[in-house]
Amino acid sequence: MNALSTVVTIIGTGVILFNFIFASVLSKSQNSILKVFFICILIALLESVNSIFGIFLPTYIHTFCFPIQNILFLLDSFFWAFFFLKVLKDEKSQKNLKILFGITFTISAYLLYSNNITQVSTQVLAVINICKTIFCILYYRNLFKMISSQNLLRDPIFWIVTGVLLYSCISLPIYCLNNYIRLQFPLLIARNIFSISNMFIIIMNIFFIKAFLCTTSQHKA
Amino acid sequence: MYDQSTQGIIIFIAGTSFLLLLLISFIVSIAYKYQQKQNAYFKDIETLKSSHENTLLQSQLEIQEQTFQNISREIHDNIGQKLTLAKLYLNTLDFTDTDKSRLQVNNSVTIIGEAINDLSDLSHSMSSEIILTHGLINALQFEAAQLQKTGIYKISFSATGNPVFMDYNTELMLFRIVQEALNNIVKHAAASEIDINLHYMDALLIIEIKDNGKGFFSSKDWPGTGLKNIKKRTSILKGNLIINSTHDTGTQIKVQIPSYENNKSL
Repeated sequence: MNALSTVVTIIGTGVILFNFIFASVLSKSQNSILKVFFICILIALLESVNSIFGIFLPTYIHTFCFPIQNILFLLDSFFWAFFFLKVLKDEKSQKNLKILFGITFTISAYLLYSNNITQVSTQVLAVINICKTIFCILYYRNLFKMISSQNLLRDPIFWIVTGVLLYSCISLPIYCLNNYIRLQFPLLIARNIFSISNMFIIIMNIFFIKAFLCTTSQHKA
Repeated sequence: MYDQSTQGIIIFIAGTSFLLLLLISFIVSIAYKYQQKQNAYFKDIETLKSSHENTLLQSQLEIQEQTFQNISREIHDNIGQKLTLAKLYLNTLDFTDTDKSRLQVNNSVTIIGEAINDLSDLSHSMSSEIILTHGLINALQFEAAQLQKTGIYKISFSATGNPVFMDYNTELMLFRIVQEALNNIVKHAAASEIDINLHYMDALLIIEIKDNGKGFFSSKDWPGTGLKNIKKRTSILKGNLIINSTHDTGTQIKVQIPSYENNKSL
């Protein structure tokens, strides 16, 4: 691991931990969407902690770190799909989401099974991110179907989905071009490029903080 | 010049920046469009609200006008006639014939008593206050009784289920719907029997008005603006209007109103 990716991973873990504390407080409310979101944050925190173990324990990285990380990716995609299922109220969109997630999950599981599970499968991440991007687009499409009286910029769900869209879209080409990057660039530069996607995890979590702030202001109101 | 890997990194960073810019503009445009649509939505609601208020005002004015017509007809055809008759009896009193005089005075007292009752009924129908003070069922019962008094119609009125007191404006609208339907029957149906039924269900109020008049073939034959007004008012109350009519067998008007939604202030 180079210095940049280490710093990004540690800062990212810190931000996710902050979000986790925030989410654990808010998940006590009756809002079922926030409860699912809390589980998503928990999985993200486990992924980050797992990465840190991988950085500091070289023997751990190939034995446990990557297989656990791959399983966490699948779990993460499952709970995000559940989150979007709760967010989308329209029955047709919910049906589309279920079909799309079924396909994504099957492809991801097959890719993990056919590839080496002791390596992080960027193909799986790419497939999951395509799926998340489509979920976000479904959300935006649904947004115009049911206009609410609430200001969009004060809606926590909008900020969460926007954060997910930013991360998914930016990291998608990086995961898709994984093999090309590894072949074309020296290892150090390739790792730095991958750090870009990790930086967007931090940005995504900053959007989540904004969402939490919206939620707390709603509670106060 | 840059080497290949530096060029690659520059392209990569440029590509990421471009993608980021694209995403930001996409999100900003979504927020902007949503705001615009939300403004249009609020404007629509305002228009709908003001149109609803107008319809309500119109309903109140129509009820008032209808009431004035009833009063003038009632005074001219009924109370006026009765008082004239009483005056006639009293004018033709023959004090020499005490038995006849007593009968005439008694008749006059009875007639004046009836006239006082009619005046009391009239004062009740003077305003839509009856809905506020006695509720929809009593107001409709009173309306049915008024029509029955003409002697032209045999009217049956029933209310089943657990009556729910609805918002005053909703009850006023419903009252106006029934009044409009009854007016149509009086003006066009040439009926002899009228049934008014109210069914209070868990989430629904159903009002049925049936007559045995001449009916009509299709919606094109709808007489005047009465049925169109009923349709408009039903849609304001988010209800359904079902009209069944066949030639010579009468008309059935069924209005279904969601009771919960109309319980809230409109």
